[in-house]
Amino acid sequence: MAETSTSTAARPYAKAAFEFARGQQALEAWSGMLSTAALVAVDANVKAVLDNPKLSTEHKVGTFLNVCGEALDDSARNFIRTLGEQDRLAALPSVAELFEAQKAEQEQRVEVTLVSAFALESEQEEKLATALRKRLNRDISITTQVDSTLLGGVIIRAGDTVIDGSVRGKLARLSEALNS
Amino acid sequence: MQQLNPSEISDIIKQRIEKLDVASEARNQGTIVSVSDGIVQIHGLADVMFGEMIEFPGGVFGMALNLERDSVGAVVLGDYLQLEEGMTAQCTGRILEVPVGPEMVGRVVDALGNPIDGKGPIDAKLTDAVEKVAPGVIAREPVDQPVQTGLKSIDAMVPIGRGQRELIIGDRQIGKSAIAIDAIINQKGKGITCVYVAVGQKQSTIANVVRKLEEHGAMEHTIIVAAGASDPAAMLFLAPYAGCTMGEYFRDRGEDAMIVYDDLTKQAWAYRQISLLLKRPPGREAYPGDVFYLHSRLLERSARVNADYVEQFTKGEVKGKTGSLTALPIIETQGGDVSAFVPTNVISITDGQIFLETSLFNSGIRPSINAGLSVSRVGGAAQTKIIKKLGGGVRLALAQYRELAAFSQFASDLDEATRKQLEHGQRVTELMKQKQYSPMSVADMAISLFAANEGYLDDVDVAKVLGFEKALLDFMRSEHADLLDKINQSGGYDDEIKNGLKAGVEKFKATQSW
Repeated sequence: MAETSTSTAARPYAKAAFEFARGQQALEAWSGMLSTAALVAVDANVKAVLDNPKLSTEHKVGTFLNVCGEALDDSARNFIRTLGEQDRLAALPSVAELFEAQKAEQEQRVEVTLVSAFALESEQEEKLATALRKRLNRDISITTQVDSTLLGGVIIRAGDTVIDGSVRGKLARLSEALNS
Repeated sequence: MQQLNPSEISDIIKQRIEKLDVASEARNQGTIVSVSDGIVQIHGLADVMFGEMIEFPGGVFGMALNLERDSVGAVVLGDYLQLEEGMTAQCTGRILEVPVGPEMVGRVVDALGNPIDGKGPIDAKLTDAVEKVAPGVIAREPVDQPVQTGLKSIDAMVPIGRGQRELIIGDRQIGKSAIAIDAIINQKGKGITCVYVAVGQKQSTIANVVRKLEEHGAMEHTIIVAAGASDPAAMLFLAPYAGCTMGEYFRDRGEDAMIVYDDLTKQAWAYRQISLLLKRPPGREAYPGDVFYLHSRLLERSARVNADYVEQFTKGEVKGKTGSLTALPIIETQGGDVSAFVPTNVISITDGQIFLETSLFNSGIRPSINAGLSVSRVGGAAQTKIIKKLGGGVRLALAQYRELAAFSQFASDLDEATRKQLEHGQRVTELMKQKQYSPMSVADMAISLFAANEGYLDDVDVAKVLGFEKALLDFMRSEHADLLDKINQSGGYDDEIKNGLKAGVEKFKATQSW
């Protein structure tokens, strides 16, 4: 879950990167580059460099770009430089996240997380996917997780919308109703 | 052996299980990012509405007040100590509502309508939104029926009409609440349902009010909404709106209701606290920019609505009846300073004010109403005819008296006319005193005012004026009960009543028994 403060700072960068990438027809490439850069930014060693007050901005940006190596093209390097000048390299994970959200919006696609008590059979997963596609009126990409503490049923998360069909959730509601 | 609660009987548990709807539904969910002083910041909750109830784990509710791009600021209505960062928060899709209806009458409830008087659950059939828009211009009717407060000084000098907003303003501990409580007690059997909203008061004070109302049989027509000093600021902020919604139930169904907000200063404080914690920019006296709107939207809901509105609202069930909600907001000033921010705001919103003064209170004039500064902007049209006729002289006599009293301090000997005016003024001032919890009927007031107007008090010692009044009223009640009934019923003033009063008072004076 993104921190409120960094995502506010990250929003204009993500928007600019997204619009540039869309104009260049390079959404996929940018998506990859940004996620790489985000991974680099959260690395403990890189973080230590970025947080070091003794090092100059050029040094930090140079180190960062060296670590990324060939993964970035020229325009992405410029983007990183701009971020570095404004001392916003720490916001890269948020930028990547917001970029993905905009990309998903553009492609009419939603990330759906299915949490189930037991591993779902592919048939069940397909059935759920069809139902969700119809309900959300979007293309969906599903990630599945198994959490045995649910006892039974599934929890479906699509953005902020949550459909709780788990036994644990039902029991919690029952206990609340009995205690009130 | 373990003790079983009454709610643990198997039948009740079975019923509750049957009623529970466990169907899974899609809900908007967010995560608590921070919890501080009753304010939570929630990430997510993209579909939340302004003022919507938000559900936290453990059955705690909140209200969304700040909708920002990535987050939602909400106040917690209840215990926020058990909330933690990382917990989920869910939308409920409902704007905050409280139970309303005749079932609420006689009960003490908190700002959310939950009973706190230990008399069991309230079986209210309806709930209604806490924040509502006031009736528009078309739905309204002029104020022309009186609310009798039972206090001579108010009913004679600053009359209040049904649907009026009359502010009671003054320093601490000079009888602001006492006036409101007396007004509630006097509504017994008059068809006006009362709502008393206690905001930020000591629990002991609230308990005292409830006991006094019970003693005088006034709880039978009264709802008490209490948000005590130890309740969260959100409850203090909400209580007046909740009480207003309960009062509106009666207004909208062609009945009359009266609501006392005791007091709005504390509500403004609570709102200031919430606003500052929500990081809204502070303005004058650190109040937020919308503190005027806070009170204006509340008081605007007190109104007299016409029969068409009532008919439309009840879908034709109630015809030809107007409804009203009279408001008596209370504002506490600091050191008599009425030019502070909140007092000036509320003075400008209301239809007049009853101004109480410390110096009058300390010199024994109780209720300590300053006759010069107190006004009623619309009540004159609503005043009972007989009181209007007989009470007109009181204001004038008091105004002249004040001027002369200041002047005469320098003069050693006064001419006859001035001396007479001074003496009359002294007696009228004395007559305006009234004990707490002893409201007077219209006829009682008429007799007192008649005696003062016609000069029957002039040969009574100033110190004995109240004794004279009491003896006179006792005499009239036993000897002229039919005349009193007639006055109470019609409220008019004609020669017959005048002659009746005259004969009665003269007969009493002849007995010399006071």
